[in-house]
Amino acid sequence: MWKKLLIGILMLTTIFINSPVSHGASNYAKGNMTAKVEDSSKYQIISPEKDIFASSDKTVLVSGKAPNGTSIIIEAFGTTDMTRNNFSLTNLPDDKDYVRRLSETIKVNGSGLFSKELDLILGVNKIVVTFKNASDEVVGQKIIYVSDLNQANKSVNNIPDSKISDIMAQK
Amino acid sequence: MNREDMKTLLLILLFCVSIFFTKELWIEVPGELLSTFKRSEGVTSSYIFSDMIRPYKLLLNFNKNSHTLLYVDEDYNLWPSGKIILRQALSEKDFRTNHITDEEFLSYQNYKSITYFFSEEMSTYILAKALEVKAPNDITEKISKLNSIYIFLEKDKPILILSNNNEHIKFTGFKFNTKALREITNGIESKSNYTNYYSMKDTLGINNELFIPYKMTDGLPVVYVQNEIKIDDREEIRDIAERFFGRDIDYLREVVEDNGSTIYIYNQKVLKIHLNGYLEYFSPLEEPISERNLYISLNTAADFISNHSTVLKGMYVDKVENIESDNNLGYRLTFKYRTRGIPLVINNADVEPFIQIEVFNKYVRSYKRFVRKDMNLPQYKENLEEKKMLSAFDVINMNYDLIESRFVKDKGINGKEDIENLNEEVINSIEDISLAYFDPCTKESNEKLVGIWAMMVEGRVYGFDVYTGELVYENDLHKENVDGE
Repeated sequence: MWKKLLIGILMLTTIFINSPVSHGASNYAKGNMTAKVEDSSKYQIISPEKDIFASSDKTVLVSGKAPNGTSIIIEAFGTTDMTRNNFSLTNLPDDKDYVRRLSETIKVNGSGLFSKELDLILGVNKIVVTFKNASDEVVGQKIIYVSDLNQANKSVNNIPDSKISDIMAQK
Repeated sequence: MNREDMKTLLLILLFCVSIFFTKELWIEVPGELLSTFKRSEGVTSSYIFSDMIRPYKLLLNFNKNSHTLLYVDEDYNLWPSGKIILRQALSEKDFRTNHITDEEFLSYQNYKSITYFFSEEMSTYILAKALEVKAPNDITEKISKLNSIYIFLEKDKPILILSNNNEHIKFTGFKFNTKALREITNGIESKSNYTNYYSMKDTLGINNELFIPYKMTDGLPVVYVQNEIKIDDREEIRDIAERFFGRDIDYLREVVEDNGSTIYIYNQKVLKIHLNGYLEYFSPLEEPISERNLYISLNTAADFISNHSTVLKGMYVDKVENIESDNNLGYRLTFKYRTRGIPLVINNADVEPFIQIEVFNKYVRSYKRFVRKDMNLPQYKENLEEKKMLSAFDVINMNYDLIESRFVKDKGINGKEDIENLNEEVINSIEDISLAYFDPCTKESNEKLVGIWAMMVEGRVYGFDVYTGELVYENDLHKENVDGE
């Protein structure tokens, strides 16, 4: 038991130390994505805070900080789940299962801030944020599983004053 | 029941009816005696008075990630429903009190709830009286002034948080029911056609508790306005004068100045209507006022406005200032109004914008009014703005360099190193950012209002065009204060 805990802590520490993006964006450089960083604290995805979560909301705000002049490429991917794999947070799709729905480039100005409100689709959504400037290239990624609030609502429509939105919102 | 009983019953009934009709007649009797009596009671205008105290914006929280902000409440009646809850909260005797921190207060916005924001701090006791609470409870003492009211809307847990610039006080243990307000909120949430607002703290990682939108769902209606008073219409001007003095025009002295302004004088009372439609009224005080009373003064103001001019839709008290004149103590009250539910910013240095009234308990010493009326022109296709509206974040981002340069100047920051890394401090200094209409005041009629994001940043008010992001209005309150001194 203690050994497992120690190994777990060591692994988490290793991941944290090697993280190229600070707070809120600890899951990057996956697949063929690269990360060349001089100062990791310069690039932050502040919202959404968690890297992987479920939500009933059909929109998500992607926001953060980066140095003036940095290009931020925000890409949104979704899955059609034609293979009936029943993708979920415990059964995530492979890269080949994702379809890119949106790609937008934002140039950060003097405020050092960026933001983009994205529409999500039901099921698994992947948001990839790439920070690019002359000295660095950093990639951050967020996975959001969107469930249908209306469907859940219907199933409990006999309960008045339900707090479904709060039950579903587990970000 | 025998015949005699029937007669007695009929007699009692007739007597009651006669009392009812006599009462109706008495109310119709004109005369200063009655109005003086009513004023000293200070309750005659409770309806209007209550209507004048209203929030300038409402934050609706659906859950941790879903919030919206409303300026227009006409469709949902969120304030009238909130008033019912407040009336009960301010009357109940059993409740518990806790001070909470800013962080705790912000965390409460993650639950289904509503927060009403007022344009400035106001007396909790006055609010209670405006809500017609006969015997307000201790809440009015525990927090004597407030500028926001939070109502928790989760089931069976009535919580009220009253806040001012210094503290947040949580009140629990009430027996009132929030079901009606919760159902309205649920209805708005289920429609899902609202603009999402996000906490700047959560989304930009800075220490600012404002909620701002990052993407707008709809635009602002195109509105054309005109002066409320048409100076060319002599009949209308005379009607106004008659209404002010309560006398036929033949009893009033009329003076037309070279510049086109018209002055009416009666018994040391003066009414001046300027060429641009600006109205000023002065009346000497009838007795010394050595002690000021805000409640009576507000009622007097409400009475005066409703008797002498039209009460504007969405009119609210924006500012209350203590004033002193020849040892008399009173208040200067500024009322603002909305156009299509949106606050208005007027660009006219020659007039006191909106409605300003100086009240000394039951006496009005001065009244100033400059109102621009919505022309309610039909919305032709070419009149509709088809451009995409910028969000509050967009205009902050687009104008960041300008805001930073003013910030550096106002703070007297010189060193290059000090100027670098100012971003967080500059964004933190944003005190408010709200949608408004800007009236350039260049035409008497057919003036198109400009939709703006009105931003307050440490003593400066900026107005940025909601479609282009350009700065269309700026007011340096530092300069104004220096000039005022």
